[in-house]
Amino acid sequence: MEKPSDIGSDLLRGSTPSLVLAVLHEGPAHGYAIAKRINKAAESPLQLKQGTLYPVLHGLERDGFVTGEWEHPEGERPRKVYAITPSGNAELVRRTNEWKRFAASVNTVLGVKFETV
Amino acid sequence: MRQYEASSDVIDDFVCKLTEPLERTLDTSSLSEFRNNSLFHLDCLVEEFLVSGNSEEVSVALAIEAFGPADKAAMAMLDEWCRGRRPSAFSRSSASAVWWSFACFGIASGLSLLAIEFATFCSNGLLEEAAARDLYMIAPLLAGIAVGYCVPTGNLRALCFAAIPLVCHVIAANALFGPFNDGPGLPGLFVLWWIPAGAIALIGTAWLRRSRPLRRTAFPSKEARQ
Repeated sequence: MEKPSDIGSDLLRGSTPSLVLAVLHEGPAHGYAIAKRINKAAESPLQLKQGTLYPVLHGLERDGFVTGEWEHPEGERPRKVYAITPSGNAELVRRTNEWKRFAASVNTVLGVKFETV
Repeated sequence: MRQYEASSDVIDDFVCKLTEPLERTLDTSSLSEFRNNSLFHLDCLVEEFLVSGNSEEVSVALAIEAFGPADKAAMAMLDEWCRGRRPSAFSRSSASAVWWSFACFGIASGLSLLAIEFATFCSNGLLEEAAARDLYMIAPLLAGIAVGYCVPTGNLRALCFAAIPLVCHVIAANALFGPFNDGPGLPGLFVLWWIPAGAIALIGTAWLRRSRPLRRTAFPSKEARQ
């Protein structure tokens, strides 16, 4: 039987920046919260290995799609909170459209029909 | 309390393993950010598993499993860091560390060799030849400490970092200063003393640096969590 975590490790790797941007589109968050949102939202098929999130965030920040700011709450560990930028929002739209086209093409070739829930 | 300290050490060791391959490749602020982000993330995961009713040891193990293998995360960070910089496969992994090692061992051996030359031919008693030879024996230890402090790395890589520059140095010294009166004396000294002494100093200092606690604030106590 296929394990949920086996489903998308390769697919997930390429999609992680889009998922991160989508999560941040809803509001600023630190890395742990982003990972939790991704893993929870997908209800198990997308089990992100969470350590790979920070390289993605580093790249998105370098590209100007997100900004990060360190917070130092009293008595707690410092954490970096990330927020999406206007160019990040534009990138999210671009990636979403690209994904739709890609998914539609793959579905056509595979003969997959979506069932609306 | 002891149980907690042991668990915290496991996380610290994991984060050390995570960041070790990136030392001297990533800039200091990116490396520090990656380290602090990972520490915070792992602590949150441990908290999450503790709240679910797991013991501390199990929570730490589950947190590390959820975070994923250290080497994969480190390589992903390295890939992201190198994106757009077009480095070679060699320089991606350890080039700056090798250059740092080469600079330390090369300068140390060059300076100590010059001291012997100076004592032998030019000093007119200002520098005893015996003192210069002592310096030559101490130099690999100093160079090893310098490299070990800056490149905290595994034992095998550490030996390579000590050996590569020294072998290069022997070739260069033979080419520049040869022929030597003492035949194979200089290469022999490098093989028998410089490489092991330099590598041991390097490994020892790297181990000391790795064993420094990473955390600035204490892990929350059980009472604080409740």
